[in-house]
Order: sequence, then structure tokens, then C-alpha cells
Amino acid sequence: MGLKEFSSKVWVGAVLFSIVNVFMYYSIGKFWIGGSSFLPLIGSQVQKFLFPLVVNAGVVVGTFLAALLTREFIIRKPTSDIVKRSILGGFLMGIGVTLAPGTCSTPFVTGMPMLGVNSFLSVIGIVIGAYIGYRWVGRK
Amino acid sequence: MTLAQPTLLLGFLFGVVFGFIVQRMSFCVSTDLAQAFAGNPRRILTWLTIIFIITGAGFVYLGPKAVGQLRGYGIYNIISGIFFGVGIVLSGGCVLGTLRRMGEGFLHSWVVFVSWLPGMALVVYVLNPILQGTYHIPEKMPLLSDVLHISNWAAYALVAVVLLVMTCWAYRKK
Repeated sequence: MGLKEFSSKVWVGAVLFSIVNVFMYYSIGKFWIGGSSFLPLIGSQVQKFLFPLVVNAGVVVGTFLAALLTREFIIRKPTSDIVKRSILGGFLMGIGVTLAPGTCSTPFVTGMPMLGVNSFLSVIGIVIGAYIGYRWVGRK
Repeated sequence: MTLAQPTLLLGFLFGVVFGFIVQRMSFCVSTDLAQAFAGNPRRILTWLTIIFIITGAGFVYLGPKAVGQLRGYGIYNIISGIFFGVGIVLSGGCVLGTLRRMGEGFLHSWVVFVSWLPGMALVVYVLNPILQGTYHIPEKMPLLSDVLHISNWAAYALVAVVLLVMTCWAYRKK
């Protein structure tokens, strides 16, 4: 098994993600967060969320580098139907992440391991919402 | 905080490493939840359990704190989750999944990213003033251990066991 194949195993990624997440908390007292980190882009809480915004800029650069190195980087143009769904979906995501901050990918990778009650509630809501979306998309 | 601060540079480098990992493991809550709804929850339960066990042990040891404290906790988490859940299925990616695909060259993920902003602005600039007074922010956001009146390690072990049992069930299921 080559390095490329090994690194694509879900358990390998989960172990590495966890180690980096804990090391980040240990070394600088911060951890990865998702949705709220983009509040500075709409001029809200710039100072508070500048750090996570920079982290997520790094995430995009990291994925770009990984995709480039593994020759998985391809520009993919969407169809107009996908663009419409992306706009609606993105808009709903924007509401979700801001209405109760910490409700995004964060509760799965950071919030639940932090044992926050709010994160467990968010996961319940996300699963319900994703199921509604799944049924809705399936009907179309 | 200025962009020249070493912490920001460190944060950016941590982000690059996170990005590398999520690209290689094709991380996406949306895709994995859809797979679970279609009858195969193995993938989501595998990474969720591993991340919880390792990250949770580290966080509990270092001192856990709730993430996302701007509007307290309760019904808003459920409502937000529903908005977010529908959104990720429609757009085809969670926050990390969208950032990953942006880096991989999916142009629709850039559309999703830009579309977050009006949704966020709607809440911050229109709904927030209306919603004030409809929620309570506690001085300390409760952890699962506070609610169950057990130690952090006991709460951690409880969730870890539940996730492990669910994962074992998923792998035994034909």
C-alpha cells in the first residue's frame, strides 16, 4: 500500500486530525472552529474571530497543496442546477452557523470532545436537518 | 491582534496541516450523513468515534470548555442545526467539506462559501436585535458532566462507550 492510499484511509485521517487538534489546544490554547470564523468577513467580531479565520485560510491552502501533490486538483465547473442549490444551501448554512455559533462541523470534531452540552444539541439538530434535506433532495 | 503576530502565523500553519489531513481523508459530514441515511453509517461512525476518543481524552486532560457561547444553549442549537443540516445536504458539503472542495478546485464550493455571507449577515444585522432577550447566556456553559453530575472523565467514557457500541453495530450489520 502506497503512502497516497494509506493517507486516504478514514481512520488514519481521524487519528491525525485528533492529534493536531489536541496539540493545537495544548500549545496555543486554541482549537479548530468552523462557521463563526467567517464573521469578520461580514464586519462582525473581527478581533475575536480573526484567528480562526486565518486558520481556515490555511485549511484551504492545505487542501489545495494536498490535492496538487496527489494530482487530485481539477477545476470543476458546476451546472446551473448545482449553482442554484449551492446558493440556497449556503444561505441556510450561513443562518445555521450564526444563529447558534458552534453549529457546523465544529461539534463533530471539537465541540463533542469538549463535552459541551450545546454541541450535543447541535449534532441532534444537524442530523434532523440533514435527514430533511436528504429526503427533500431525494424527491427531486 | 495584528496579522504579524506569531500566533496568527502558527494558526495558519495549523490550518495548512488540517487542510492536508481533511483532503486526504475526504472529510465531509454531509456526504457521510447521506451515506448513513442510505444505510451505511460505518464511515461517519468510524471517524466520529476515533476523533471523540483521541481528541476527547486530550481535551478532558487539558481542561474542556464548551465551544460556541454567543447565544447560550438550548433550542437555538436544535433550530440552527436543522438550518445547517438542510443547508449542507443541498450545497453538498459541511464547513470543512466546503473548504476542502474549494482547495480541490470545485467552483460550486466557492459559490457555497460566498452564499454563507448573506445568511450570516441576516442573523447578525437583522435577527440578532429582534432575538435579544429570547435567550439566556449562562456564566459558564455547562458540560455534559455538569448536567449528569459526574466527572469529566466519566462523561467522556460514557460517550466513548456509546459511540463504540454504535460503531461495532454498524460493522456487524450486513
